[in-house]
Amino acid sequence: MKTGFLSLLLCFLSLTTWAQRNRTQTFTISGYVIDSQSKETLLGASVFDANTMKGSVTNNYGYYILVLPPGHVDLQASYVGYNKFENSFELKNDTTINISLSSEIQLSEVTVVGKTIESNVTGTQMSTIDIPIMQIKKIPAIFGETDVIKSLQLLPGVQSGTEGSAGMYVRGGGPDENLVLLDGVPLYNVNHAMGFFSAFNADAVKNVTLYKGNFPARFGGRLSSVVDVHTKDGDMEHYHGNISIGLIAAKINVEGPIVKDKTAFNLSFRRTYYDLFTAPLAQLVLKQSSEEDVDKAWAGYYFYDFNLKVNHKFSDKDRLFLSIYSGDDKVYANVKMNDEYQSDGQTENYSESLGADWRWGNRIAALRWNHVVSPKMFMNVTGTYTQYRHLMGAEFEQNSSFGTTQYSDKFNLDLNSGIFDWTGKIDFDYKPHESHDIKFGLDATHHSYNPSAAGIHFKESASMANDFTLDSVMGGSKFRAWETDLYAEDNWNISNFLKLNLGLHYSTFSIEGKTYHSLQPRASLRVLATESLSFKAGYAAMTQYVHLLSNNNISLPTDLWVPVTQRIQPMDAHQVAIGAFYDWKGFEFSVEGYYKYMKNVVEYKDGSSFFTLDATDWQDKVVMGDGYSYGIEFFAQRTVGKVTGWVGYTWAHANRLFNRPGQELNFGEMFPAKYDRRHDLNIVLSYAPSERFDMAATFVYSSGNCATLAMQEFDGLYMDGSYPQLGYVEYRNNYRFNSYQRLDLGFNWHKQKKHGERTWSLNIYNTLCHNNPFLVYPETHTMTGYTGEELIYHRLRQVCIFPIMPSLSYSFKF
Amino acid sequence: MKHHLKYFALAAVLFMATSCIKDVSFDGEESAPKLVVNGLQIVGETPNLCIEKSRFFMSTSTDVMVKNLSVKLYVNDAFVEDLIVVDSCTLNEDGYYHDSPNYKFNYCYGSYVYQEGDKVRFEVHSDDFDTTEIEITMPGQPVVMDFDTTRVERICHPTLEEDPNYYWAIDSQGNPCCPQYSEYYDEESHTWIGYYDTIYPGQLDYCKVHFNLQIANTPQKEYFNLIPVEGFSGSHYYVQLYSTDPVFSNMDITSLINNEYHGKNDHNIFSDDLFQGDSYNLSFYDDWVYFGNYDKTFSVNLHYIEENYYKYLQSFDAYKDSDLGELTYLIAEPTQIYSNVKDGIGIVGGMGRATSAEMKFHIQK
Repeated sequence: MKTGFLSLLLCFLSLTTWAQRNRTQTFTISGYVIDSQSKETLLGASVFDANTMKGSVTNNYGYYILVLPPGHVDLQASYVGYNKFENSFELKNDTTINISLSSEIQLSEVTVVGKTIESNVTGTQMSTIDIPIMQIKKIPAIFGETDVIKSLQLLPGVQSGTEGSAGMYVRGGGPDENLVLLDGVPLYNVNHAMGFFSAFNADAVKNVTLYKGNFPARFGGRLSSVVDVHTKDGDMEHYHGNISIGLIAAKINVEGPIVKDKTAFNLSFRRTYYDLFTAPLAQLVLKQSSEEDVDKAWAGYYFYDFNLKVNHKFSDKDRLFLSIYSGDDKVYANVKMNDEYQSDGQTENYSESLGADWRWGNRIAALRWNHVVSPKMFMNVTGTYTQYRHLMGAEFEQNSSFGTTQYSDKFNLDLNSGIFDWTGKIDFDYKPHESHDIKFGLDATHHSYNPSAAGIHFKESASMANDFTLDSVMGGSKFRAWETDLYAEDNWNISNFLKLNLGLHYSTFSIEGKTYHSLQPRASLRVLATESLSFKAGYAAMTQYVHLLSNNNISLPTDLWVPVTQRIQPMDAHQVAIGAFYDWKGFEFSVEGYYKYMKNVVEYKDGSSFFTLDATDWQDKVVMGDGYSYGIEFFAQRTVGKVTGWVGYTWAHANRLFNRPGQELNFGEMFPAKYDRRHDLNIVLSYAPSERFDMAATFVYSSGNCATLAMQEFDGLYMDGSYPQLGYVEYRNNYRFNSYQRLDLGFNWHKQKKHGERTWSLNIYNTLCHNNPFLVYPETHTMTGYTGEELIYHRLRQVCIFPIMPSLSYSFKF
Repeated sequence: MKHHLKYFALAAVLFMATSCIKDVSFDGEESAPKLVVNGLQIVGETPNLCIEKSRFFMSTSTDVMVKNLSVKLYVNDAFVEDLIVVDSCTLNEDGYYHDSPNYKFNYCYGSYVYQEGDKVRFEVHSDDFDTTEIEITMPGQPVVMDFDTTRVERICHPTLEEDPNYYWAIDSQGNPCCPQYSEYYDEESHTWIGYYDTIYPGQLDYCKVHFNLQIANTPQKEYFNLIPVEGFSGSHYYVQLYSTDPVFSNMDITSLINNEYHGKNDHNIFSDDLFQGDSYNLSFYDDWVYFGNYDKTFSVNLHYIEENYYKYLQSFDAYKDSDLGELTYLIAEPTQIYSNVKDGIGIVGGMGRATSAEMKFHIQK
């Protein structure tokens, strides 16, 4: 540990010392870039001097630092969807300029953003895509519910899981290898409704950035991707909001000043109302179908998301933010019955009630302080709390009385699991020299894991006998761990055509008396061939200290986040990527190739299922192995004009190898990963002919998912001499589903009203009604033929979830 | 409880209301049949193999016979005999073979009697497949050093069951009592006979008897199979042993779904990973309701089994445990059955002679 930390410190000190020594006299221009109306900070806005062509971009808090030699400055700032800012002056000392950008009228012309200074061609960052929220809102969505994660699944290198799932499989990695940050706080479960929707309310989101590889050193803890989501800060000047009602959910978003120009808030709430219909329907169905007298029955499902952000500006140098998120899913069912019997002249009263509920969700809170330490240094201090918990409960009660005899039974079962994190971190942006853009920082996290605990409570009472009680808790092994991270990175502009990003991320993880260390170098290089063409290469090492034990087919709330232990090692990944990037007349093209090796990936053993109620330690149910993935991604996007969008194609392989002694899968031979899909094509188009109407279309085509099917049947041998029929699986994931195809269309009609703007939206999901496979399984049937002989026939059954799904929604923006 | 759980499932069903299920054609390549060889070879007994072809899962054919089959037996690298191949056999549910036109496979048997340590090799020749070889080494016999009780827990509460005949009643003296339903196996009629006994609150009803089996172990890697033996004792005829011993993969005693039922035909396999080279005290217990004063005999047979057979039984157990009906493909991880048949399927396993351990125990009401 000492060696790693000292290396990191030495690296940083060398950089800053070298930068200082080689500095000619320079001055700093720094400040915030904000929306002129709402005062909302703009992330990733470009600020540069047209005179020297030196520039910078705003950080995650909208702050920029530009270091220039004294003299004439033609300062320009730009951001997609906003008018350009220009200001010329003579630079004689360190200057603070807060830049206000006014939004363009034609807001529909937004696309995937391309930054001027850190753009597709000029930036060192590769494998990274920013998606403006306006673009995400235009993409047609299932049930009309705009979904951030589903939008990311339309990008090359990102695959969805099964039909409708919100899982992300990035460059051959698993769904747990994505670091999803909401205002800098990790979210462990981003799924609602088994993964059909994500936990992000698009009305609350300001900006989304996806890193698929070549990760900046400030990120750590996951192998395959970082999804960095920032919510809106709140309008410092005016109150406004948005109400929308869709097919299954209603949403409201309100923002405005608490103290004008000082304190603002942004509040969003979304809830499904499907259960309002299912509850009375359940009563009707159960009463009709039950053999017993059902007095009351209600059942339903709902989910909700609540976002609140409050920000206070003490001065130009100090700002305080409070972010809160709460989201839950709940499935519930309750039945009550009462009855009365007559027997031998006596009356027996009987009552029974059964209730079950299943709830899972996240809570996060973050308190953040931004401080401008000096013109060259920006600091962010954050304290966060994140919680994911899953609760399942069932209760059964039975009471009866017969004459003077009374009898009662009460049974409770509850299962719960959860993960709870407290984090403190500090980050710095430091620009000591015009050619160096340095970021460094550290954080410490206390983790508390509760993989699974089951409580069983049983009580039986009888008026003429002793009570019997059983009270037991199984499982429930809690793990506590400490994690620390240190990082430093420098974006070094070596020359006009050569740019280098070097970084180092060091982390430790202490649990059960054992401490793991990891030194993770990061590097990327950009060679600018021409103003429009560049070549890039990158390398990133990542380490992950948590695993998600999940079913391969669907995302379930019973998926468990478990930490590394003395037996289960951290996962490591090494990824190299190279690419070419080209801009031409508003089009951006890129082609990237990557290779990724993952060590200590975890899978369930053969036959394991978390759906059994036992106290087996989860560590006994899993095995560790390696993953190998490689591929090529092609990406073309149009950023200007009435028609915008992108086309992405991926050719990829993803394999797994579990051949360690005692931990073999597939008999120690390599096999395709569950989501090894050879081809993936996504086309997203937006067309906005006028202010009153716009439309969008997405087309998705991908090779079928893998499944394991026993292709041969045979008679096995059992100890009693019997021969049960068994299935022979030649290798895991040996069968491919049919290909997946889907066309979605979305239409929006806007009309200005007295107090705001109303929009009718029509979304058609799976317009061509293609039967996309969710699950495939074999089935055997026996029937009697005409002549009395027994006929056996086999068939393959495919379960599809979503046929054509039109939906209508109404929203009002005020 | 189970009956009412369907109500809870309604919520999930309603949510999935838009799903559809349809037949799809199999677009992949139809995989070729594989040679299937099965047989458990036991020290002191003679060779026996069942040989057939596997069937493509979409096929309706029941023809599994292998053409022109011949099997050679080699022991310690020396040819011993050609197994006799019976061309037409049918395996019925009772495990016996009869001539039948419906479902035939090949059964092979020999006359050589296996000894401990024999290196056995089968060569399987046929027109349908390339020559296949299967090799096993016949295991020895374990040594049991001791078999005794460690403690007896006396339990006074009656067991609670959702039997409709189970209710609190009043006896002729006006005392509350509970008729307890139980069964015993009658040897003569080969049937289970049910009866009612009476329990009074606070009375000694049953006890839990804990045992210890001390096994001598060798420096070599060994695999064991523990088989409880049928025993008749007084009015009860049953064998029901449980174990929470770590060698049985740490099953928790408080688990509600206890899959450690050691019945007549189940296997209970374990390896010496936790105690290789040392002797080991294997603990287990008998948990049942006892009535009356009587003697009980507990008997177990302990075998060595060879490694391939052990791996096969492990994979077979995982396969059984993962069977969740139609939910299997959605929820359970796939299971591959282990095989030691080169380029084929099936298991040719070896088991050594049994070491029997018996203990008598008196139960006082």
